[in-house]
Amino acid sequence: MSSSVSGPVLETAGLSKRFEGLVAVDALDLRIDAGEIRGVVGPNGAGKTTMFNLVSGLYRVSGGRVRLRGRDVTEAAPHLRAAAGLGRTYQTPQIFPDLSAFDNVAVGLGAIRPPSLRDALLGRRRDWDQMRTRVEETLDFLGLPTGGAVAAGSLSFGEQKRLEIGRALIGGPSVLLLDEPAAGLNRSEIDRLAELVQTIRARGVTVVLIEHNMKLVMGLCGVITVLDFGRKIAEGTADEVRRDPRVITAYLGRSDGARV
Amino acid sequence: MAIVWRRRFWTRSSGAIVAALVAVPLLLANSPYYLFLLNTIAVFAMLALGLQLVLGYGGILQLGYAGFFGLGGYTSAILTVHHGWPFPAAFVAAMVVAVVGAVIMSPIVRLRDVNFAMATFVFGLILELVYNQWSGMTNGPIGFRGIPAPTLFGLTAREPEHYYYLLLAALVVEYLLIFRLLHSPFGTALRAMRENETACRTAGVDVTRVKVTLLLVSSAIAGAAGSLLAHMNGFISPPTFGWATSVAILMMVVLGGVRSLPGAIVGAVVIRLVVEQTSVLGQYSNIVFGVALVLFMAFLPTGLAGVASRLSARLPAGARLGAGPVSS
Repeated sequence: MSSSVSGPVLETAGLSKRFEGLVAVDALDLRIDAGEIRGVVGPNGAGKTTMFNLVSGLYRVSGGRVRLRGRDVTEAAPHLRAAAGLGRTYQTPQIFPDLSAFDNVAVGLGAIRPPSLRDALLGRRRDWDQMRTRVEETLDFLGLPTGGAVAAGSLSFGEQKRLEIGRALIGGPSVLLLDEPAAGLNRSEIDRLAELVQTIRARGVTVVLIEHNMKLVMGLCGVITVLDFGRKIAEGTADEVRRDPRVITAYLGRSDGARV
Repeated sequence: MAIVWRRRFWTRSSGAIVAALVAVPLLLANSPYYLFLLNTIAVFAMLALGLQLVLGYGGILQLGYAGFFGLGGYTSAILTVHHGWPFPAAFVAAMVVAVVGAVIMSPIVRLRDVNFAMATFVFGLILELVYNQWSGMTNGPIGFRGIPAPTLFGLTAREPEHYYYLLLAALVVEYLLIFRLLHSPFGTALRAMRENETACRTAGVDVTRVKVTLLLVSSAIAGAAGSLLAHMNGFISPPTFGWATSVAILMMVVLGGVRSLPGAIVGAVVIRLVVEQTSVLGQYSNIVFGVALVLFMAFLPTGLAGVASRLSARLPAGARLGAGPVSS
C-alpha cells in the first residue's frame, strides 16, 4: 500500500478519446490526491467508463496524458500500470468463472510478481507459501471463502464483485478504480460495500468510484466530479455539486426553474 | 476444479501407472510390431501433451504444431548424418531450433482469435513447404534416410525395447515439467488468460509474455519429439510434419479431453490405433477424422477425460482413482 504522501496519485491532462465521429472523453483534466475517495458521476454515456479504460490502458488515448504517482503511463500496457500501482474493477464483474476464488485473487499477484516459467520450475516453496498466505488474507478481508474447490462463477453476484476487488487489491495498489461497485447489490450489501471502501482507504489506497447510487457517493466521497458528454461540468463537495445548475441541467434536462 | 500450487505428482496411482508402463516391454517381448506401435504412440503422446499445454490450458490455437515437430526431426537428422554430431547434442539442438522457429513466429501473438489460428496454420504450411522444397538439406519429398540409432551414455538404442525406455523417460520428464508448470502461479495465470484476457491484463499479467512462453515451451517439446522420431525410424519425410499431422495431434487433445493431461495421452493412444486401422482408407482417412472431430466437439466437448470423471463421480468415494493427476 502507498505511503500517505499528499499530492496527486492520479492525474489526467487533456485526456481525450474519440470513437468514429463520437467524442467519448473530451479534454478531461483530473487531479486525484492521495487518500481521497473520489466520486465520478454523470448520466449514461457521459464517458465515465471510457475514462477508466483510458486510465487503465485498455484504450489508447486520442489525446492527452495520464500520470500515475507522477509517472507518465500514457503509453504503458495495462499490466505495467497494474505493476505501477493501479487496480480496477468492472461494471459487470470480469472474473474467471471456472477458476476457484483463490485462483481469481491469485492472478492479481501478477502485478507485483510477474508469473514466469523460471518461477514455475525453480520457485522457492517459501515464496509460494507467502503468496498463498497473502491470497488467503485477502479473501478473508473480503469475507470470501478461502478454502476451495468452488468455481468463482457459482458465487453470488455480490461475492463476485468482492472477488474482483480482491484481485485488484492484492497487488497493493495506490489507486483503486471501482466501476459501479453498488450496481446490482441489495441494501445491506451496499452498506457493507461503503464500509469496505472506507477500510480500503484507511489502508492507504486512493479510491475512484464511478457510481449511480447518489446516496452512496454523497456519503463516501469528499470530492465529486460530474461528467457529461465526456467533459467535466462540475467538481466539488456533495453540496456544491448538488446545487450546480449545469449538473441539474445534465440530469434533468433543460428546464427553467429546475429543482432538485 | 481447484489446482493447488506445487501439488505432488507422485501418488500411489501415478506411481503404479508408471511402474506398469516400465513393465510393458516384458509382456511384448516377442512382438516387435506392437512395441514399435507403442513407441510411435509415445512420440505422439509427447506431442499431444505439448499441444494440450498451449491449446488446452492456454487456449492458444496453435494449428501448425507439426511444423515444429519437423524442425526437430530435420535438425537432428541433418546434424547427426551430415555433421557427425552425437545424438545428445543433436537432440538439444533440435529443441533449440524448434524454439527459434517459435521465436520467429511469436510476433503473431498480437493477432486475435481466428487471425492468430490462421497465421499458425500458415506457418505450419510454410514449414512443410520448406521440408518439401529445400532438397539440398531435407532431401525433399523422397525423404531423409540413414538417421542413426541414438547413443546415450555409451548405449545404443537399436532394439525397440531400448527405444521404448528412452521415450518413456522423455514422456515422464515432459509430464512432470508440464504438471509443475500448471501447479504454479504461472499455471494460474495461464488458465485465467484463457477465460478472460482483458481482466488478466488489468490484473497485472503480461498476457503476451505468457503466450510467447507457452509457444516456446510447446515448440521445444515438439522439437524433442521430432528428434526422437527421426532416430527411432531412421527415416523422415515431409508428410509426417504436415498439416494433416497437426490436425491429428489436435484431435488427440480434443478426443482425450481439453485440459486433461492423462486425456492427451489417451487421445494419442486412440488416434494412433485408429490411424493404424484406417491406413487402408488412404486419403479418405482425413474425411473420417474430420467427421469424427466435429462429432466429438458437438457431443463430447470434454472428451474421454470428461466421460471418465463423470463415471468416476458415480463410484463410491473409496473406489475412485486418484482423481487423475490434473483435474480442473
